[in-house]
Amino acid sequence: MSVIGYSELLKEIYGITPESLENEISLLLKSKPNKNKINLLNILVKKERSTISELLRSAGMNNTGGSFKSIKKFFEELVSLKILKKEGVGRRTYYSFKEESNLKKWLS
Amino acid sequence: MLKNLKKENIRPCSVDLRLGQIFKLSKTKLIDLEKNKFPKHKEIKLPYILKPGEYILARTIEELSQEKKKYACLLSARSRAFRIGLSVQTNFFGPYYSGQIAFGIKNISENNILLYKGMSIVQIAFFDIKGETIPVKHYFQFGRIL
Repeated sequence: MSVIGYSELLKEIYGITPESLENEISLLLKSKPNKNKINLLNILVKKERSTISELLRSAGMNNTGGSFKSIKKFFEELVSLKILKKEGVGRRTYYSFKEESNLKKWLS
Repeated sequence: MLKNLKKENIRPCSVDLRLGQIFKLSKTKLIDLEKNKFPKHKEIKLPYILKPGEYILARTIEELSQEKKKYACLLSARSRAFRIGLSVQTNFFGPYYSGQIAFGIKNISENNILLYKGMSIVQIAFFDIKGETIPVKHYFQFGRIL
């Protein structure tokens, strides 16, 4: 009988391993995250999908101009890193976490 | 494995659990396990001041959920409990148990101790089981206390 350690606990509870999470975080670091950006990801993970404007409004941030452009650039990078996915509905672009994202499992 | 847990409560090889509900046992003339004579219990609101010598039953916010892999689980007191004079009566959970985690708390100190929701005084460790186990149809809870 052996006691289950931290990495195995994470794997059992969240379906992630520290290594897979580290890989995703190292990818995320390439997109220069900051406190506001991480806060938006924390809000996004609780929603099925969201537009950038909705997220900025939920976070009490300005949803036009520079703030919008900066977050759009960040989210587009996360889409190219396969952490987020996007879908266009009419004129709106909705972002959501990829189902298999370890970061999603960790944040949620 | 565990429901309702907080990520930061995952420790190197255990998980800290939080106090969710507490129950007071009523006085009864005689407790007889053979005849299924048990004291009644009543939920008390948290926060609650536990007086010296007082014994209560408690339930954690987290729940065991062993749907996939089966482990043997050992609930034990955190060292902070005995440091403040709380004796925690804990339990061993077999591989097929899923459900609420109950334990007993007794104030063995000479001081009043404040119990509050989310207080972390117990931890659970999971153990791999060597060899085969046998399924259990149901877990018998004496008199369904909790």
